[in-house]
Amino acid sequence: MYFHGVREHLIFTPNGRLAFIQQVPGNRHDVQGLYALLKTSFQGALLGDCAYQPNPTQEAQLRSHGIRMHAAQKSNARQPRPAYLRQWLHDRRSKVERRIALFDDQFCAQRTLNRSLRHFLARRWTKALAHNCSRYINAARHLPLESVAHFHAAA
Amino acid sequence: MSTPSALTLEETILAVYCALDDALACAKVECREGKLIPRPGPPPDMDDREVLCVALLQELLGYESDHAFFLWLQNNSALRTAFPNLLSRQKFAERRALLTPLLERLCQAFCVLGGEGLPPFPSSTPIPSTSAASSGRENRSVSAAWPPPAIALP
Repeated sequence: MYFHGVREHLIFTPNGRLAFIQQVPGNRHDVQGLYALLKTSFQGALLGDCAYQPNPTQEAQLRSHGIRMHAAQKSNARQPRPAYLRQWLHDRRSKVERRIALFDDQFCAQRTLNRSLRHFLARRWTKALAHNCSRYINAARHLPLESVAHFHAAA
Repeated sequence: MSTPSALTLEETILAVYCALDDALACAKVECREGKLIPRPGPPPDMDDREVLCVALLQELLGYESDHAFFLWLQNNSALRTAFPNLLSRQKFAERRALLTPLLERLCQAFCVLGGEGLPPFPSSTPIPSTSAASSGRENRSVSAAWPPPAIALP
C-alpha cells in the first residue's frame, strides 16, 4: 500500500457551489495551486489566506489572465493594508473557510481510498458533483440548503 | 430549526436521477445508446446515467469505501430493483473513471442551475454566510428524530 499526499485547492462560488478543484502534489507550496490556474481557462476574483500571495511577476501574469487574487497579508508585510481592508477580507474569507470545512465534513473529503490516480480524480470530482447536487436537491425540496443529514438518514 | 422532511431511499434515488438529468440537459450532454461520452463498442448493459447516479448516491449516503458501499448495495432490495443491471465493483470504478471529464462539466452545470452563473465573479459579489440552520447542524441527531411528528406543534 502506498500513500500519495495531494494538496487540493477548492474554488467555491459566492453561494457555496463548488466551481473548480485543482490538485497539486502535497509537497508543493499553496501558491503553486494558484499558479496552476494559469494553465486553465479559469478567470475571476479569488479570496485566500496569506499563503496564496503571489510574487510580483506571477501576479502580473495572473492579472493579464483575468485572475485577481485577494490574499491576506503576512504578519511581517512591509506595507500593511489599512485595518478596514483587512477586516473586509477577513469577513468574506471566513465564510468561504466554513464552506470548505463543511465539504470536508459532509463528504469524507480528508482522505480518499483508491488504487490509482485515475480513480482518485474520478472520486474527487464525484464528491464535488455530489456536493453541488445535494444543494440543488435541497433548494428544490425546500430542505436546509447546506445539510446532507436527510440523505444519510435515507440509507 | 424545524425538522427537515424525511426522504426515503426511493425518493433519494429519484431526486438524484432527476437532478442529474437537469444537469445533463443544462450542459447539453446527450445520451446515445447508453453512452454519455462517445466511445467504440456495443451499448453497455448499465447506462452511463445510472453509473453516475450510483456514484453520486455513494457520496451522498456517506460511504467512504467502494467495497463497503457495494456490500450494502448488494443487500439492499430498493437499489437492486432500481438498478437491475448493476456492474461489479471493479467495472463500476473503471466506468466512473471513464466519465471523469464529464463530472467537471456537470459541476459547472449545477452552478448555473443554482442561479448564480459561472465565474468570473467580481470582488464586490456578496457572500452569504452559512448558518447552523442551513447546514442542519442545530440538529445533529436528525436521524434519531425520524419520522417527523405528524402534528405540527404551535
